[in-house]
Amino acid sequence: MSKRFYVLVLSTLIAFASIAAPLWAQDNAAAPQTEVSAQAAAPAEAPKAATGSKLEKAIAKAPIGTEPGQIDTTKPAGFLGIPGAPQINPIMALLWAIWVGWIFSTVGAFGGVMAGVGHVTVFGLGAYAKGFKTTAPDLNKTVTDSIRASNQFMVGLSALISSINYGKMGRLVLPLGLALGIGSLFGAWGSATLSAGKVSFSAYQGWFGFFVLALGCYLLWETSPSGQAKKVKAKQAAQAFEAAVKAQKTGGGPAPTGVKVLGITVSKVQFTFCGVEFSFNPILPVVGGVVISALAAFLGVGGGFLLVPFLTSITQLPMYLAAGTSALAVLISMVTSILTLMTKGTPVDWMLIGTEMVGVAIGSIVGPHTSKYLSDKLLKRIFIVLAFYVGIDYVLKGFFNVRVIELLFG
Amino acid sequence: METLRNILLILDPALIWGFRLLDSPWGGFLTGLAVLSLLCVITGDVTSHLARRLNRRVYGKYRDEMVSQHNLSVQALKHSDKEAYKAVNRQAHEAFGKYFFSQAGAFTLSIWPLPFAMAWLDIRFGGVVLTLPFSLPWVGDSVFYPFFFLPIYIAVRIFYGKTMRSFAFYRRILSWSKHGNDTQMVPFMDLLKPSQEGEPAKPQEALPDEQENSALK
Repeated sequence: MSKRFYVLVLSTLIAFASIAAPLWAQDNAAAPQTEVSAQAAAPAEAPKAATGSKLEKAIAKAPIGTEPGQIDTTKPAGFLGIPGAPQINPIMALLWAIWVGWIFSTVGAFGGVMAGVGHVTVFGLGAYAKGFKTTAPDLNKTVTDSIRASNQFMVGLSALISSINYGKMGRLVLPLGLALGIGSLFGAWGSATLSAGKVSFSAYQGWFGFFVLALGCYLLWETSPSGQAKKVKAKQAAQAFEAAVKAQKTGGGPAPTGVKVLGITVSKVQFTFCGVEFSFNPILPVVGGVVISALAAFLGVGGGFLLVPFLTSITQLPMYLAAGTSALAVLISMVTSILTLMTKGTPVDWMLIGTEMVGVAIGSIVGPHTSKYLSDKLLKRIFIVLAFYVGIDYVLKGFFNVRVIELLFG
Repeated sequence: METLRNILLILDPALIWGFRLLDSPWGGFLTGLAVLSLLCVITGDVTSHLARRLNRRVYGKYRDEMVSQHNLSVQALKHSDKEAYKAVNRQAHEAFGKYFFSQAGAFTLSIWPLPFAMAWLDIRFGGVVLTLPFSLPWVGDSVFYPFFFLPIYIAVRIFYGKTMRSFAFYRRILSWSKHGNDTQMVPFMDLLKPSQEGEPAKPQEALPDEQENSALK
């Protein structure tokens, strides 16, 4: 009786509140005293350019006309509410985001890169921003910053909730997380401060392409015989140990328990954990945090996929702790970078981000069901081809203003 | 995107009422943000649970693989076998990657209403400068609505997660959308306790905390 009673009471309260509260609110809506309450009391306005005096100033400085590199005031508002800017079709945005989510859940990487390709190439924002390179450099850089901030917002929120959860579960190595975090803070802040409003779209595209190319090279090495051999060896060793545990053949007496610190110097921390010796350089997490976060903040990607292997290779940290510790560092990096960009007035198209989030979620749910029909190796090879094409094309377009297709076919 | 903006304008009366609950401008504004956050959290939570239920077999497979590899790596440490530990830990990382990315999708479904709320707030309060009674370092005394909305959203989300768990019906929803078996990851802290050599990791009852964590991930 009690459970159903509580559910009934709660449902009644919610139903009552949803009917009564708006009526009550109508009665209390009189006499707004400030601009905030005036905004709340007034009817919603027609859509307008996204906020940010930086954007408005940049638009004001741009020449008006119908040519490329000019603001066409006769056309309806497009991306960020800029008249004449590309109109992003929500269905197209949703479909592209489903593709991004599918990649994210099947390959485990490349999602952020594909999201960037969507913004730059598929939605035509890159070409639009580039058109203002000489006529309105401020608008060119503001749109570029907006693309970077949009990518980071999604990663940052994910890292935030992960960090809270990992923290509650005690999966954070706080000193290491803080060391990485301090590095991340400086890296992200420095990168965002130095680059906000200063990076032209071409430079961003060139470096983004360079990063994609590097990722493609890494994926290629992973699928090469030497990359596979390392993986197979680890798998065999893991299976052998599992079999030994099952057969109770691991032998040896009880292992020593606990952590014993053997020595701490500026360049080396050495300790034993259950009798197994570990060591790492304490400066490396800080330096790694700075470098990875600066790179992630500049490109508008998460950096988590770089931090986890970095952490495991320098500290041999167990999975249980590496994930949480890197999530904290990603969080610090993302929050710093987003806040730095936003306090500098970078506009964000929330509607586009919302649509993309729904698409990414749908793609991530469909992904695991479809990936069983495609081998990991085949998927990786598809993405290597994509990474090389996108990487080379963006590097050439960004740094040399040449397209791969033009280069190949004239 | 124009169509979506028009949908937000249609929803406007349903979203603005929270801001008119109190006469005080600041009180009304903050209450409105809290009500809007709650709407976002509830909508996101419902869609996230539906997705988890729909994908529970796949998520369960990924999770069980991750937990099993992790627990095996703890076993390797218990036996002071560094080579086995490194090999198994590598496998555990791979399994974790798969599980993490699958969960990121489900997590996205729990926060999708947030950017739409931001878009609506932008239509309503975009460009309105809010003057703080004091100046904050690096911020100053003039801020925009995200300064209040994002912390309020996070606070409401945490409060919602904690409060809802105390209701039996919500615990039933959690078990309805739960994935994987009840085996938990053996905490490394266990290795600091006196050794119980050769004893394999025992399955433990799933903690409500773990369930909530996965629901909010």
